[in-house]
Amino acid sequence: MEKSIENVWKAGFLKKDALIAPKINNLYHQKSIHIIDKFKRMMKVNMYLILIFAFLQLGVYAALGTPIAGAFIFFLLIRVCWISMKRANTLKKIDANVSSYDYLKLFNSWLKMAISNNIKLMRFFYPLIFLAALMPIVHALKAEEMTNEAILNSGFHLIYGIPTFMWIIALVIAVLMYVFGGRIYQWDLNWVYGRVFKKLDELIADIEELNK
Amino acid sequence: MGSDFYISSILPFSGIIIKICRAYTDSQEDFEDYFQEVCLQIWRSKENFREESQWSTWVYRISLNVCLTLLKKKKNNGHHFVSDSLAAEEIEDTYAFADESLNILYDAIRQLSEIDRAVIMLYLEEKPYIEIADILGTNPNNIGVRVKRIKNRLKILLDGKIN
Repeated sequence: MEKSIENVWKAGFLKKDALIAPKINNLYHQKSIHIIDKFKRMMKVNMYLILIFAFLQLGVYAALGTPIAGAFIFFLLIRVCWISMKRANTLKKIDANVSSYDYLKLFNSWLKMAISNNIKLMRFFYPLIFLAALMPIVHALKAEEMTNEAILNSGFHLIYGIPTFMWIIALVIAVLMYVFGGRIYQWDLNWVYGRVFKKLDELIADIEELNK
Repeated sequence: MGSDFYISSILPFSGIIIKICRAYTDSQEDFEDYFQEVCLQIWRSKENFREESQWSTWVYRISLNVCLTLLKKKKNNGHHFVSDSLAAEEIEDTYAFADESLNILYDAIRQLSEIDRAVIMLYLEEKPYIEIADILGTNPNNIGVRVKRIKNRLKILLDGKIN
């Protein structure tokens, strides 16, 4: 006679060893690998995007009549990519055979070191990009007969055909960008990687709590 | 997760977690992943437990939610667990209850829809319809009909396999 499912269920779980909980070991192993792999993938995608953007700048700035500014931005972006690639290579040196916690901690210190170095770099990068990005505007103002004449007749003191006060404003913005470069970079970084960073911190905190 | 919490609040209820996780996984490795994730979520959400229901009901609810979420994630995002990369034969012999009839019943349960699996397991755990409805956030009036329908389906799936 066929047993009812209720009886199968009861009888099955009455047996010894039917309900042995698996050991909570290696709990975070997959999570840590998953999160770091995700970060590496995002970093790679980000680098490719910067590369594409760098080449686009060459074309766009040439079309706007300022190929030198385009080449300058291209050079800056390529330099950023190159530095990032070099950093990514040092990431490979992190020993993945250690425990999840150690792996996460090593990765976290690598990340902090990379961010701190990037902050120094970005302090120069942002103002330089900003000044280079102004070149097509300067070029357009000078190339357009009407605006050029208006500037010449304005009575303002001019440098390279542009009112000096405008250069000063641009310079002040560039200096501010230098001063706040670190913060701008942090904001930029959080916008792209914020969620991964949060998960990483949570994971480390979880493991530390677990180890208590 | 502190070991005190694990010993006092998870281990006594691990049977619930095991039963549910087994119904949503088809390999030992996935089962262990799901089990660990459920434990982690119970620990994480312990502050949200307001004692409006029993702790066991809370454990059921979290176990089901986690299993359904993980299953959905796995299907949608192609989220791979380590076991995905293992050959089927490596998994087969490690995955089994001691009772063969129970294994057959579980195989049949796994062929049900995700929600039907939850309903029938809570029914087999002798939870009243009102509690099943509460755990699943549905109308208690529908549970009885649903259980009857699921039992009929299981009968077809198990036809002659369990004696």
